[in-house]
Amino acid sequence: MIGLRAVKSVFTILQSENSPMQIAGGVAIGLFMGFSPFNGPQNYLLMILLFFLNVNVASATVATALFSGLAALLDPVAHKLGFALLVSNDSLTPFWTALYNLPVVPFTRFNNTVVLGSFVLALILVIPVIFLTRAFILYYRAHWRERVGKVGVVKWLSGLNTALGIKEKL
Amino acid sequence: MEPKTPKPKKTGVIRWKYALPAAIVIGLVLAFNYFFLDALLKRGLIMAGELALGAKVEIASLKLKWSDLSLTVRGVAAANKDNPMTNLVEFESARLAIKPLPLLSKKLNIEEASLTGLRWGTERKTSGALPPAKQKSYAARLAPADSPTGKLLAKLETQAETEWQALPAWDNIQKVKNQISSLSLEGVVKPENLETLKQAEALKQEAQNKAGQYRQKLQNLDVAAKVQAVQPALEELKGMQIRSAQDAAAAKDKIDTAQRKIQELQALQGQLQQLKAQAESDFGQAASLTQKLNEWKEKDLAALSSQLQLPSLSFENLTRSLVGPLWLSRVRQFVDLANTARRYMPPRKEKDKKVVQPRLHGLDVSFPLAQVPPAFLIQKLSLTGSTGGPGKTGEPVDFVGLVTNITSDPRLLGLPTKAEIKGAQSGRVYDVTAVLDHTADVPKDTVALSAQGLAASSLHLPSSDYMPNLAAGQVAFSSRFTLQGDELEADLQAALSGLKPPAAGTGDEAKKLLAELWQGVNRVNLQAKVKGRGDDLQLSLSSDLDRLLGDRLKAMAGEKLAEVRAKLMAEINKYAAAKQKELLDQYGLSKSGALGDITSTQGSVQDKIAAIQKAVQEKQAAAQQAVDQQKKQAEDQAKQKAQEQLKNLFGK
Repeated sequence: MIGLRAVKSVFTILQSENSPMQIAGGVAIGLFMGFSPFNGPQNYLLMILLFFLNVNVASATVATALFSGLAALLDPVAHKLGFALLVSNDSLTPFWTALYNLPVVPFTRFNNTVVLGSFVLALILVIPVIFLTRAFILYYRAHWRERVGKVGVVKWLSGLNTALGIKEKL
Repeated sequence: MEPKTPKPKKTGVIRWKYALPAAIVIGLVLAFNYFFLDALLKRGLIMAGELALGAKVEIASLKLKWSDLSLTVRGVAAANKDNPMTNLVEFESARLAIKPLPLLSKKLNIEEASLTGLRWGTERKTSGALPPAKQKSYAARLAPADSPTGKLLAKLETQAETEWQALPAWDNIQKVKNQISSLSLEGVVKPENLETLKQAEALKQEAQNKAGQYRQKLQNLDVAAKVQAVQPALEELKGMQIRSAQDAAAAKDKIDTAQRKIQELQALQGQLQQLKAQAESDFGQAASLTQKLNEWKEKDLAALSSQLQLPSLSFENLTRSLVGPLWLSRVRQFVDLANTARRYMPPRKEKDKKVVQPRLHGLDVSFPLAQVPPAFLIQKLSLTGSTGGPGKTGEPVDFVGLVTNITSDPRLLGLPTKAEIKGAQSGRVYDVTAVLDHTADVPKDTVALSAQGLAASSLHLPSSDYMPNLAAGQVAFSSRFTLQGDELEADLQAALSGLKPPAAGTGDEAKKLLAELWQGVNRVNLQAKVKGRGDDLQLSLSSDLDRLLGDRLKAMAGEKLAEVRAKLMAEINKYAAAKQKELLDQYGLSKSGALGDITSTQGSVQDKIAAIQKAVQEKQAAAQQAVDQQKKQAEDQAKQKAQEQLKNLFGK
């Protein structure tokens, strides 16, 4: 059922009236949330941003799920990147030391090689992800939207929303 | 007609309508943390504890009080990974007063903490072993097998196993009396199996052979022929008549020939003498034969003892096997403790600006700053507890203690962690001092323990039938463990006193023997030492236990054993006596026969030499007399001639 809901969410987002930048913004926030520790303060901050910024929440939710899986796969890369920044590079040590001794900041666990590496990976990916998402939405809406809207599965999925709603009410 | 693409709705950057739901969500998160933080903290502490100790950790309750920021933990029990049915440590409650400001920087600084109801080694009702997945996580965090500490721990483990395997089986000793008392010697000693008899027969044969060999050698010298060959020369010499100097001159050659014959006979005599000496040496003395037979009798006795499975009474490994595993397990516990302390309170060099610690995902890198407290610090931890508890024997001793400067960064703090625990109650004294100094480049961990008047059973010596009932005994010990870098040094001085022999019981021979064994032994002194590194670890263990038990068991069982041995020897002697007499008779005959033959031959040669010498002397004397007579006649004639010439001259 969760899988169906996720597929339905994707089509709902694609077929919705939200602007491409709203969707891309949601994906960007989802990217950071997926690459951050689940219970870290940075995730709370991102959640606040998600609610207050005019971005698509559903796209952020789907992106969080997708990028969490990707982040887990990229853990070894993230560790190497974090190790290079935290351990190997001595010139950054004063910066990390200052951060480490600031209030609240240590709760982000930035001093963990995987956490910092994942954050840096997210930073690297965020701009391309925003532009690619926006471009994809525009292309989709221009060329596929009408045709996809007529496909039986998509219609069925649209109907599923109503059915699920009735079932939940019952 | 082109499908009409709906225009996106125009919206601002901020979504004010979500402010309320967001506030509600944040409020819910905060409320969740407020109400469920205790549960989360409890779960986190359990997980961290299990990961650190490799065994189950249980916490009955945990309460974080926001008003004074204090944490109270109750009913904590951490199982012992090496013995999952006991707790490594447990305590009733702990209260930590947390400083609020450092918390904002994720620093847990506690000025004062207290811990009550501390106990260790108590019995558990359920196993404290971790499920396999968690054990794997724990194992991944242990010192690598090829690291100095890993090698040291592995060496201690294998050494303990070896020591334990050296424990002699009680069954063997139990057999001593049973075997002896139920031993039947009937039919055990069979003449055909006795090596003594076989050897006696062989020696007898050998003596006969030797006598034959010497007779042959005597014959090979051909003495009779050589003596006979001299006879013509002797006869010729004897038959000579020497009346004049001419005869004497003629006899000289014959005398010379006779003297050569004498020399030949003397050479023959020399050969005979040599043969005699060789025979005497070869036959040796009868005493040596007796000695050889006695040695074979001892061998026969040993073989028969082995056949009867008469036990040996060696106890040399007793201390090692009895105390070794216990001692090494204590040393291993200390190394484990030091290793854990070094993992969570890592030593670092002054120049190191960061400390790298492995975590489940990646590494945590700390960036300490001078003058800023470490990430974790308990300045003072006061504790109370007891040496007793479920499953522990003896009267417990209540103690109080103080631990200072427990920190995640000892170098930054600049102070070692110290612990002092003291307890004294009704003559029972307990004292523990520990210094974990990780402030220098090379960490040094020291733990000193001493105790007096404790129940001997609290030592948890391995269950052994050798030991008396320790319930009534007491123990006093003093031990010190030091791990400097990866070099270990540990020593123990212990005295077990007030030991009482176990009840003899009725009808059980083993119990009677055990009671008899320990009778009068009421004190045992033990010393143990371990020194070195993982690749070169020296262990020494000593006590008066080996001597005490060995002497006593020998005294108890040795007499009976000697009786059995004497009986066996008597049986052997019975069969060997006739054979021995036969051997000695044969030996005497062979030896005297061989030597007698040589001696008589020597006599005949000597007689012949004497006869020739006598003849030579006679003929020499006769020749001399003939020469002298002729000389005198010549002188007389010359004198007479001279007188006549004088007469003619003056007579005119």
